[in-house]
Order: sequence, then C-alpha cells, then structure tokens
Amino acid sequence: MSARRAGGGGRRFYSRRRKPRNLAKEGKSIDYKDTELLSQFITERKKILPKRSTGLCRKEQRKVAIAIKRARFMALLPYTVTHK
Amino acid sequence: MAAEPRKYETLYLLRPDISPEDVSTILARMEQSVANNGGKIVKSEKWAERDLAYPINNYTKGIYYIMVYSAEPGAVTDIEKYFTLSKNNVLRFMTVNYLEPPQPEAGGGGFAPARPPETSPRDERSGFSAPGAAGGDGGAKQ
Repeated sequence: MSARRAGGGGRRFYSRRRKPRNLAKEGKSIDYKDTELLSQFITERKKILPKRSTGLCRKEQRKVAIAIKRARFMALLPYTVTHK
Repeated sequence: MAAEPRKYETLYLLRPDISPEDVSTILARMEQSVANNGGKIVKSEKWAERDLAYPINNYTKGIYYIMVYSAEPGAVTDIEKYFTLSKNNVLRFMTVNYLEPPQPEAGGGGFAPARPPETSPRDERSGFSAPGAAGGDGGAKQ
C-alpha cells in the first residue's frame, strides 16, 4: 500500500506521491466543519497525513492539522477506526 | 468601545433526544449572554443533525447548532460556563474566532449553502456578471 520495504534492509520507500497543492489558490478556506475537505488529508486509519503526502505548504498543512483536531473533538471526524 | 469586538463562532452539540423547550432555553440563555456583553448575534441556527464520528455518552447521533456573534470576550466565558453546567444536554461545544468565508463563490463544502451571498461584494465582478464582461477583462490583460 503506502510504504513498502526494499529487500531485507531497513529502507522504506513511500510510493504515495506528493502533488503540490494550495488550497488558497483553489479558493477553499480551511474550516474544521468542512469534513469533506479534511478527510482528504487523513489516512484510512484516520491519521493525519504528513506534509510530504498531502503536498501542502507548511502553513496550510498546519491549518489543516488544527482543523482536523478541532473536527475530531466535535465528533465530526473520528480519532481512529477502532473507537470505543 | 474602543476596538471592534471580535467575532466568534460557537458550535455546540446537543443530545439527539433533547426537548424543544430545552433547546429554546439554551438559545435564550446564549442570546442573553451576548446581549449582556454588548454584542450582537450575526446568526444562530441549527447546523446539522448527524451521526457522530464516535459515541459520546452512549449517543451515536447529535444535533449541531451554530452561533456567530460579535461581543466582548466575557460573552464567551459566560456561554461556555453555562455549557459546562448543562452537561446533560450539551455534549460538546467549541468557540473559535470566526473565519470569514472566502470571497469567490467556490467556497468549500457543507457550510457554503448556509451563507447568504450578500457578504461577498466581489460577486458582481467575478462570478455572476455577464460572460461578455469577463471575456473583456481577459482580453484587456493580453
């Protein structure tokens, strides 16, 4: 899937490409209520994707991360897939 | 008032089986807190009724209400204090500085429909004007 091991060594390659992306240019504001947008930046297991995978600049990545955490608190997004 | 009072947005989650009377007392109480702190409410409405991402107090559903208002900071403390005291009905609440919606009509996601178009003065120039005018702009640049 995302990361796979090369040979027997410890090196990992991330096959998830990073396409540079700028939400401000797309005319989107980063709002914690916008779960549709935010769910693009979390993994299947609901973890926040790193910047290298989202392709966001550090400023926007930070805003997205904060928004995801706010959404999680308000139960708009899950913290994990194994809740309870 | 020296400076503009800040704009706040409070999203709060009520339990799904709350009685209409309780909702109206909460709403009235919030209005009062804002009024007492020299503020005014921009809007106060039901935002969504949806399944929760995880159960809270064994509730799997909830009703979200949202209020946008400008007031002195005292209003926020007052409202949040009230919410903590009414834990039975209010499952979650959060107040953030209000984020002005982006100007172009492209605005993202679920919150967009609730926004009246009158807040974006640029609409006439970009999105909704006659296509001829937009074409003219492009031509002028070249």
